[in-house]
Amino acid sequence: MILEPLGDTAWRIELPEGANRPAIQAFLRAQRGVVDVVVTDRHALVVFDPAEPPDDPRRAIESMTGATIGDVTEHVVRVRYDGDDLPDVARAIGRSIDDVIVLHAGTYTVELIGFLPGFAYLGELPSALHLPRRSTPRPRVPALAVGIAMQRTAVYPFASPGGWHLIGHALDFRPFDAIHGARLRLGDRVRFVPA
Amino acid sequence: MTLRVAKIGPGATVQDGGRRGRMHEGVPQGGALVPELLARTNRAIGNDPRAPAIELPLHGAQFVALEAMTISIDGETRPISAGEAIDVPSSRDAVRYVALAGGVDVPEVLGGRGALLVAELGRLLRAADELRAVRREVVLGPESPLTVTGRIRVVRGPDAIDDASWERFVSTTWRVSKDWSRTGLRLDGPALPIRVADRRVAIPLVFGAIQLVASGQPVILGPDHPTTGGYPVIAGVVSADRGAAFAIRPGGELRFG
Repeated sequence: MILEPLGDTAWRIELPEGANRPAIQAFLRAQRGVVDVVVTDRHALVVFDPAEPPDDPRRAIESMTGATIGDVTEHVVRVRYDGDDLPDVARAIGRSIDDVIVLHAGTYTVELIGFLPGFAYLGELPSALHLPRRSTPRPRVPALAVGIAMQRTAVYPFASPGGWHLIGHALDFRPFDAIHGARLRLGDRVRFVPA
Repeated sequence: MTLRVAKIGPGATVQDGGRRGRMHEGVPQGGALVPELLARTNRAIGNDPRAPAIELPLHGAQFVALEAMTISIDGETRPISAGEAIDVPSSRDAVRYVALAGGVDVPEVLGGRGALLVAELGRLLRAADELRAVRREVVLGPESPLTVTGRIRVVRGPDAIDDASWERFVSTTWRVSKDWSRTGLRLDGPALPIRVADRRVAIPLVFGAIQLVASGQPVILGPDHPTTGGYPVIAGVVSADRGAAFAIRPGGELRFG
């Protein structure tokens, strides 16, 4: 496992294939001297105070592989499939709009959190729905829009620029709020149900 | 003690020492653009160095004191009588801070009192806002002086950059562009060859990380950076010099070393 400094306040650790990323994130966050942790597909970033760096965690996390064990939180999110790109998506994959809805509804895993506070990259989409990002990103995607791009889907927590195909919007669900922070955590499950 | 905003530039917010422990939720640490200057401003008036204060990026502001009070502007204390108008013009540096004795009274949200606009926490300050002071317990930490020399120390990597490009990166005098915000600042200079990043792979980011964006320009990430991004990170600014980088106004020069 390679550990590289990012400035003097962080290490970026390259994770092996099959790493249990939710378990690694939980472990790293609990270590003395660790201020913040960001786990992405291939890396774990450990942020610390340079005056008191934590112990090198590589030995401890290298055995953390396989699927998450323990309780997994499932969130049920109702979706109204009315996104502006729904007809284009259906056309691009050569299926009907109803097919797109049936393909998209289902259960996903939070594979990554980033881009915006509470933005959870959910995977993996059925391969029939894999499309590259839009060639021209929208300057403003509305909050709660449900988008797809490549192997992933997400609910936009806030209005922001975005290049994903918009297929609907989430009802009764806010991915981020000032009381709880992000509602979805790495490893959580999300079940999209057509409203 | 209450300070009323008479006039204020765009981008002004209340900022403190930032949030800790929420980056895994996509919440950057946020907090002051120039932490050393926030600390100096607070200390001068007997506040905790991380106490919330008014951050004025690039533009000045005018205030009216509703009661007699003492304020600190970038570490210069000033007694003010009731009804007095206070003019804080923009300075040679990019950012100024105005602290009230005790700290600005804003609610703690998710472990911090600073505005984080991308998460809709707090908001921009505007005319007629009234900022109250609150007395809080003071915990003085070690002093961290701000030295704005235009030379910013960096650690190379973690993403690969070839030796010739690195040599160019550290030998160039870069100009801070107008693309300057709490999210990051872009540098103008010779374009560096960028490896085509695999846009499907999100890379974790931190305050002070230097991304090489598609145009080949380096971007130094600020306190409100996204926690992940798609561009290679060729270097990281050492923590003691992040504030110095953000204290340079657009149009100013900096070198890495």
